[in-house]
Amino acid sequence: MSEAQKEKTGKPPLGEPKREGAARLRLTADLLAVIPNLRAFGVSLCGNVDHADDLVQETLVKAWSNIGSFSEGTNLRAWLFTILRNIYYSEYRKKRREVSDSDGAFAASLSAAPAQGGHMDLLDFRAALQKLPSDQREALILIGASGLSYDEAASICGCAIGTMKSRVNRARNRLAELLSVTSGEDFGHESAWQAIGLSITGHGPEQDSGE
Amino acid sequence: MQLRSIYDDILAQPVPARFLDLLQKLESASSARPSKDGI
Repeated sequence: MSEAQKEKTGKPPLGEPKREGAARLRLTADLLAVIPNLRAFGVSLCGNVDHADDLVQETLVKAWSNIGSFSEGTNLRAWLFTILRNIYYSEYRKKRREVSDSDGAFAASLSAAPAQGGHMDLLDFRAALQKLPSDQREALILIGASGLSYDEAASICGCAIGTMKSRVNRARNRLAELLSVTSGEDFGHESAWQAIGLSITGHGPEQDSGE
Repeated sequence: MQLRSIYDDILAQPVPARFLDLLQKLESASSARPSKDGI
């Protein structure tokens, strides 16, 4: 190996930028992979696909510019959910009327409802979901649909794990209540649990942990 | 599994083009400014 070669390999002219470039590409790929989850979470929060996509857009921009505050190796999805959630709630506080259309918009926004056996109408279900208090709805979404752990969900919502568990419990109780009112007599609690995708065992503590 | 099916409806959709464009823009904007550190 000649001196000249050593010299060349010794100090790569574009070493740092190259590493940054690779990191950026990885970040892009990682973000891309989480977008479907973000959209689904966004829809479940605001009940409207278009609005959800705006939330996702803002989330991505924010995440990109704050990537320095994300510690690598931790859960990117949970971090992004937290950002999206913060955007949604600060927006929500600003203009409450945005969410007042929940029932109709949510139902209409997802027109491709799969044909459903059984007596419960899917639109009823969606409407019922939107009738839950938002903290309970998102608890259900995070745990029941996104498949996050109670721990992750609690950190996204900035609450204790016990609080998260009790929100999920109250949410499914309330949902079962709403659905049995809207969809008639033969909708038992048993199927309600299945319906909301929560075969998660353990009812957890009955008490509402402090909020 | 209704909650899942609502959720999965959306998960199954392809990523809309606007997000692909956005990521591309973000990427090229930050490569134009090599000393980007985040905040």
